[in-house]
Amino acid sequence: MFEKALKGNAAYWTWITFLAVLAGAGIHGYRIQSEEGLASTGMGVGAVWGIYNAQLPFLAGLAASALFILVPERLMKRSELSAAAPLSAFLAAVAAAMSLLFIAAGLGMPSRIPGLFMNMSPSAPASWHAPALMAYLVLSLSAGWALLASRKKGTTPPRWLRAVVMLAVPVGFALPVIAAFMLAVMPTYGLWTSAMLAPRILVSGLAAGMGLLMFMVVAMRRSAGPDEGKELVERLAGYTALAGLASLFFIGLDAGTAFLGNLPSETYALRLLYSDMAREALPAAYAPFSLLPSVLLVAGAVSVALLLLPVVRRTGGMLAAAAGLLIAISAWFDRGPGLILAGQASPDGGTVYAPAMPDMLVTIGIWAGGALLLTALLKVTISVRRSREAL
Amino acid sequence: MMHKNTLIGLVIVAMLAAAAYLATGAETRDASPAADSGTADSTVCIYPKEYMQTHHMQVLADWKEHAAHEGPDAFMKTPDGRRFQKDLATCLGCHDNNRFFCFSCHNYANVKPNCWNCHISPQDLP
Amino acid sequence: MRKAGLGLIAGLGAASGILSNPLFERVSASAWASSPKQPGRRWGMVIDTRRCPEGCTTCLDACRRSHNVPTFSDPRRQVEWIHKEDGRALLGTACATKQAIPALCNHCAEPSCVRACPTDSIFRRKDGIVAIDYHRCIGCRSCMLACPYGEVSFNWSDPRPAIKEPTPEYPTREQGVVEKCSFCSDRLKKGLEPSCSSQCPEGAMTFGDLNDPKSAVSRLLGSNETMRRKPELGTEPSVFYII
Ligand code: SF4
Ligand code: SF4
Repeated sequence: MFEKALKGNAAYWTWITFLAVLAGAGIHGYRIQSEEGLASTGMGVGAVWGIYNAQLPFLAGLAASALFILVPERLMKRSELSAAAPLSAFLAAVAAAMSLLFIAAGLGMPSRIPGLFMNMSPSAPASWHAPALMAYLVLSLSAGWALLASRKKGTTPPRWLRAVVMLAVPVGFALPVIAAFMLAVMPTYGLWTSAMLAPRILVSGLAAGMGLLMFMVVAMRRSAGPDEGKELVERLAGYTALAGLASLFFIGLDAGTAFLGNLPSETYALRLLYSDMAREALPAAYAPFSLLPSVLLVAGAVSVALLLLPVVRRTGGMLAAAAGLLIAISAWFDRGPGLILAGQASPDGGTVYAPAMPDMLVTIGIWAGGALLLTALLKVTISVRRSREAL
Repeated sequence: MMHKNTLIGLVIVAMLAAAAYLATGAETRDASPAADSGTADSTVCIYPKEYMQTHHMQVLADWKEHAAHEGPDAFMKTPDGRRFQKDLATCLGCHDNNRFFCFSCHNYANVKPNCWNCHISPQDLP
Repeated sequence: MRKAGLGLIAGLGAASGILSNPLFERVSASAWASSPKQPGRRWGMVIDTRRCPEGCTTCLDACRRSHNVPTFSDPRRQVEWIHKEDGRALLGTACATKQAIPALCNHCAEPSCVRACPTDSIFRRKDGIVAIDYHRCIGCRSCMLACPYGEVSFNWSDPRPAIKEPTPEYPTREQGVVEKCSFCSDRLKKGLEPSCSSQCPEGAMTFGDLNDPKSAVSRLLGSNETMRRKPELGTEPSVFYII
């Protein structure tokens, strides 16, 4: 089936080449990093975790979001979601694979990666992170592949798939909890010790996952021709809007608690994100980016508002797709860099993290690698659909 | 279809079992060392020479684990009743008459153990 | 000595309601009797800040030398097992002195660093020492973020070239692992006291078994008001300061 990913038109190959070049740049960045040590990155005393770890909470939520499609579709016989099921499983698999790569990229001793699986210490939440991601990667990839294979043959999906999905439920819901608890053991960082952290990661991941899924389904309809996907887009748009709304509500709850309680660490991090403070705290070259958090927050909120309009959901065209994508980007910043990088900044001064060349390249490279994998899987999905239509 | 899947499942189970066996194999062999007939002093190694020639890596890996985690409580008792503090310094303390002790073999076999990334190699000493 | 296990003292005392001000802790014989039993040793240290003169770095130098701790000039790459910091910053506003006083890993009884480590590379030993297995650490730096006192350092680059006066008896670390104070567990094994406390010319650092009521540290805790760093976090440090 995979050979389908190797056939495509010029636009497809241009996109693949573009991603491959970026991934290559990431490999180059990693070479610099492994030769010179993490000293070559923007990390250091005061900014102990950088942009690698900053991807992990978001990706954990994104991976878990697939359960909201797979469980109703497989276990509750909601066949209207069938067209989205393989896509969401693949999205989860890609998120899990990228998380594993980001974990590996941030280690000082990559040669000891097996230790992550051999020397687990059950009382440390971080111990469960890599094994859970690994299990989830296998489960979601096999679920997506089996769904696609049965679609291709026109048979009903195999029975064991139900067991796979049932197994994926605890593992998938554990991901945001692990991502939150591995931060909760760090008592001095206010943003990380909130009990809202796990639900916020889950809900933002859900909004992002549904938004991306909607984007992919709309894109697929444009390339593979409209089929049963119309109600699907409307449904996904509804999920995205609701999850986005919940996410905004949670942001408000956390911010309200922080400012009403005048909690020093939390208010500092929030002001760093959403006021002019970042302009001074960041190195001069990064000053233009100090507005990014506010812009993304507003963009996300506007997109949620748009998707709440029934017209937009029903039309389900490019506007809805763009809103879904924007919500995903906004959620990424909120539960990614915004949480980790701003959350670890200390009110007692000290450095604010800003990426250097190697960590920037590696991050872009891993995202490109994820996009490459997703593109290939999407291509296979589209070809399967096309070949079915030709029958 | 069903048959193929059962087969794949069996293969995976077999592979897991093999991996588990390989992962534990080395240690189970360690636990039953050959008896040492030497006198109760440090002129004789903790295990017979032949055993050490083939298994010193496993012994060192075990010592390393215990020394790091138990510190002063990490002792080893040989079958003939001698007690050794598990510590690389214990090994090097006996084998200090030949500063090429580790290296002549390792160089010959082109083995590069990572011990000396941190521990100071006898060859680096004046 | 060990079986007495009369336990601690101060922070535990807070739980048994013998302290009016949780910032200052005093140990009394009745508190020992009522505190929960902690069998075995618990190594600890009492630092008398009144005796520690400004500008003295004897303990810092002794530590750096005896454990091959690298010296990096860039503050963002710094590695240290013990350092001196302004008393207010260290112990909070209740501490009157603004003079620099020594700070090191507190070998907490409830260490957050240990709960953060995915590979069990940093762990609490039976004798109360929080130790790192440098053979196992994967360099994820979770422990650095989890330690509320910033007492864990990371080797951002190869430490060997940065070691000023190498000591062949002790190993170095390598690029990509964390390191911190070990309470000189290597010296304790040989029956020696830690480098810092044994070399302090003013006798400002006292090392010993906190669980032994007859030890010098226990006696100091009984006769002085002491403070610990961030006691409100419940990490139960084993390093005490006399102001
Ligand atoms: S002071 Fe920090 S590193 Fe030391 S035991 Fe306590 S939490 Fe861990
Ligand atoms: S840096 Fe090493 S010791 Fe610290 S948490 Fe990670 S693996 Fe454990």
